[in-house]
This record gives sequence, C-alpha cells and structure tokens, in this order.
Amino acid sequence: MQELIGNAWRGWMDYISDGKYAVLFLGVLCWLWLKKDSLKSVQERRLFNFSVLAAVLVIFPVSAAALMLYQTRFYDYKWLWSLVPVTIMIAYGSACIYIESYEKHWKGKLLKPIGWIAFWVAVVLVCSGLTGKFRIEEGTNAEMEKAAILLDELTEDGNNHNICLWAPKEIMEHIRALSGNVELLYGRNMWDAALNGYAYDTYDTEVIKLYEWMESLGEPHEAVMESLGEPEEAVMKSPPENLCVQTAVFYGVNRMVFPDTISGEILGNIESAIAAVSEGTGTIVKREAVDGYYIFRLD
Amino acid sequence: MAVILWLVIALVPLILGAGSLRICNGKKCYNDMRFTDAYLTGILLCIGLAGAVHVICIFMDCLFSDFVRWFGIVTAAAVIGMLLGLVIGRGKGPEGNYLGRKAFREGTYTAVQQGVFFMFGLLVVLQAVVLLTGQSIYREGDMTLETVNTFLASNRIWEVNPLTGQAYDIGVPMRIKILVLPSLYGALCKISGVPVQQLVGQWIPVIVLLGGYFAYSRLARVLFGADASKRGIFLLVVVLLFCAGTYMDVMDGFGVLFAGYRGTTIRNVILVPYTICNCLQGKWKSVLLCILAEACIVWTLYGMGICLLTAVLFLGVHLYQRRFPGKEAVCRSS
Repeated sequence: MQELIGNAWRGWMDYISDGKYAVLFLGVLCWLWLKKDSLKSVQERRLFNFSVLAAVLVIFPVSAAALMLYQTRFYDYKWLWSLVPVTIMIAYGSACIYIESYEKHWKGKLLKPIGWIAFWVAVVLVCSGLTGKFRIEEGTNAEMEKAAILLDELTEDGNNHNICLWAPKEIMEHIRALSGNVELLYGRNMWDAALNGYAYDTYDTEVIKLYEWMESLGEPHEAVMESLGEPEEAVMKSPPENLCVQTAVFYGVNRMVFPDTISGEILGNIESAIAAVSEGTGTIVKREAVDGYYIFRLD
Repeated sequence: MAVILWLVIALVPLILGAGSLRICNGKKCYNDMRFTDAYLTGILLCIGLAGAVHVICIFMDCLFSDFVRWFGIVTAAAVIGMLLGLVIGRGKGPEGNYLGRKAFREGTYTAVQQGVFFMFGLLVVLQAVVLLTGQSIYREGDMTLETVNTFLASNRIWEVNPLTGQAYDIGVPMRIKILVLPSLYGALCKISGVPVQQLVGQWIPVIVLLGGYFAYSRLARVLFGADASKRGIFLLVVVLLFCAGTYMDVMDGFGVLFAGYRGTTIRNVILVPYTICNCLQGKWKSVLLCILAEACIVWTLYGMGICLLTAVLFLGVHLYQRRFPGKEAVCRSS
C-alpha cells in the first residue's frame, strides 16, 4: 500500500509537470467556490460538487491509491484523471466568467471582450505547455511509408501467406499494421513494454538476442558476442552473423532485411551464413537492394 | 461502398437511439429528446449489440466471419424493429412536440451568438478535415490496428498473436478478449471493403470527434438551458482545449486528434461527458448504457470503470444535496 501511495504522489507530480490544465481546472474551481452565486441551478451546483469531490479523491494520495487499485494495474496514475471533468469545468468556468464580466463591466464595449478572449486563449495555450513535448514521434509516417514499400516488395510475387520476416525495428514496427498476412519473428512488444499486458506469451531468450543483435548491427564483434553469451574463443572462430542467421532460420524466418549502412564485412558474413544454411536445407536465396535495405529471400 | 458506409454510420445509430428512447420513455420522450440524445444512445446500443454478439462468438469459438454475419443480422433486425416502432408509435408528444422539433422552436439567435456557433462549427470541420487527411496515429501501448488486420487475415478471434502473426502459446486474458472494438472495426472493414488503416486511423476518429461534440453540446444544453451565449462559449472553449491539450497521451485533445479509435478516448470524450449529462438529468437508464458500453470497450475491473464511478459519486452528491440543501435555486429543465 505504501508503494501505491508513493506511486500516486509521484503520478500527481508527473501529471502537472508538463501541461497545466489540472492547475487551470483547480483555478476555475476556486473561482466558482468564491463566486457561488454564479451556480444558479441545481445541476450546476451538483456538477461543481462532483468536480470538487473527484479532484480531491484523485489528488489525495490515499484515495488515489485506492482508485488505482480500482482501475487495476493495467493503467497508470494519470488515467485516474479520466474521472475528473477537467475539460468540462474549464469550459464551464470560462463561459460563466466571460458572461458575468460582460454583463457587469463590458456591455456595449468591444475592445475589452476581445482582449479578454485573447488573454484566455493565451492562458489555455500556456497551460497546454507550449513546448509540445508529447508529440507523435517525428519520422513515424516516413517509416511507415518505407515499411509499406518493403512490404510491397516482399509480397510482389503474390505469396504473402508464408512469409516470416526479420528486419530492423523501424520496419517490424509497422508491418503488422499494414498487413495481417506477414508473420514476424518478434513484435512491437519487444520494445514497447506496455503491450506485454495484453498477453501471457513471452519470447525465448534466443529471439531476444536476435533483436538485440539486429539493433546493434555495426557494433564491434566482441561486444555483440558478449551480449549473445558466447565464450570468448568463439569470437575468434565464428562471427556472430553465423549464429544469428542459423537461429533465425531455426525460428522459421524466410525473409531477412538488413540496413544498407552495415559494413561490407558484416554483409559478407551474413551472405556466407545464409549460403551455408541454404546449402544444408536446399533453399534458394535471392538478395536485392530496396530503398536503403538489403532483402534476403529464402524459399 | 464508402458513401454507403457513411450513410450507415449516420443513420443506424440515430434510428436505434430514437427507437429505444421512444420505447423506454414513451411519447413524453419527445418533449426533451434531442438529435444528440438519439445519436449518442444509438452509438451506445451499437457498441452493446456488437459486444453481446462478440462475447457469444468468443464463448462458442466462432470464426470472425460468423461474428460479422451475426452482427450484421442482429443490427439489421434491431434497426427494422426500431423503425417499425417509431412508425407505429408516431405522433406528437404531450406538449405537441415531434422528435427534435423543440430544438428549432427556441427563439432566434443574435448575430454574435450565430458568429460564435459558426466559429465552433468551422473549427470542428477543420479538425475533421485534419483527421481525414492526416496519417498521424499514436500506436504506443495499443495494438488495435494489428488486431483488426489479424482478425481479417486469420478469420479467427484472438487465436493468433496480432503482433507477430503466429499462434498464441498461452493466450490472452479474458478481459482483453471480451473487448469489442477490434471486432467491430474489422466487421465494418469486411462489410464495406474500406482499408483498415483508413477506417481505424481516419474515419473512426472523426466519428468519435463528432460524438464527443454531441455529448458536450448536450451537456451545455443541460447546464445553460436556453442561454445560447454561454452554450456557444462553452463549446468554443472545448474546441480550444482539444486543439491545445495534446501535451500528454491521457488528455482529451490528444486522444481525439491522435488516438480517436481507442476505447479510452471514446470513454473520455463521449461516455464520461454523456454520463455526467445523464446524471445531472437523473436519466439513470442512459447512465447504465454508458457503464455497459465502457465495459465493452475498455479494460475494467469486472465491468466496473470510470462511468460507474462517476455515477456513484453523482449519486452521493445528489443524496448529500438532498440532505443538506443549499440556497433556493431555480430548477432549470433541460
């Protein structure tokens, strides 16, 4: 319980660290508290009381911890704020403040109402955190387009039902969103831990190491072999590409994609490893270069 | 097919909602039922119907195509039934109102008020255009796109891992399996032929955006009644908050503009405001619909989510106000 209360308090601190809509909301509540006359109807008073109650429950660590248990550990503290009518009360307060000010002070005037509107828009923009830290990662659309081009290339022979793909993360991330027919060696939950809450299945250690190797392409052999858990003498005998290609084929991969930024030596090792595997299994290997990547087909 | 799908999305919830409100409330529903009430109730019923068929298909181990067929049949039957109910039970309400007529009989708007509502409408249209033409959707922590693609490709429900395309070894918790949105989106794609990315990434967010504004519009009517100035400013500020409030993934604005297809966005933007609206009016049947709809689209604690908590807190506030009444206030009927 102590841990939950601590998480709740830290969650509240994180929630107000970027944008300040919660602070604006509390400011509106304070104004409405002081100007209770503006709450004319039963419904308005009821909404105000509900907002105060919800805000207290969500901010106070003990009640917030209880609510976090209620919403289950699937969600973080910040999702508790779905209970609090932040948007509704800011909008309601804005309407009440404006109309009250207009009727008491600005009737017949033009500049003051416009000035107030401009001021309020500025307040909302400032409270939203003008830096706009949380954005869709730049380049996501470009990556998806690239993945789409590669997918077209992989499936251009019409055979898109027996493909098991292993590629860099920026490609693997988008393939299943574009097509449900292509299998992947591993999915987005390899790097997006939040997705692990959706299923009980986990990845084998070898598959995790294949992911780490793919993302480390270009690093020195020794470091990569160490991460793969291979003994030191193996580094001298066999490059990591051999082990990785063999393991990938063992897991059913028949399409491999590598970035064309890898060194000639690594590319050569990969080609040799694939050739060695295909000799043993009688598969046909084709290599082609497409839009910044090398595609190896093992059929 | 795209045009037909838009017509279906526009009309089916409206017919279902209007019919169900007529059945549940009798002719007196014509006094205060608005287009927004009918449409929002219809959306909740569509989610509920899809949820019921989906759960039955899960427990009977049906194919995805079976779900699509049964969902289509059940929805068509419900629409026909509601249409018959509306036609048979047609006529004026006790105060001489037809459905929605009251909305158009409440006086005229001043030029300034018209300007405010025009600005609001313009900004909503701009947001819708951005959603329909943009490609930015936020997929971190969510796999709806992959799941819809997998249902369509494998014709099975939750037997293939959406992230890898391989069969599950152990599987998925039941609380994930019963969530209906991937199946609903997949059914719409299968019936209409619209690509998954277009439907899930563009069309559904527009529907959620409009549904959200319907909910806020209804709430504004409940709070401010015939005061068009306050209603207009309320809605304008909501639009502004949506546009600017994208600094965190839990903010309504972020959900609406970047993740409109998600259950949490539908809950925060449509269900919670509409729950609050219905709690303020004492329409507890509609509150129950919101609670059930949330259970179908969002991971909850055995069906208990934010809407239920909202209703419970409102009930507590209601009982407190009856016990300790404040100053005399005019009860404004909505």
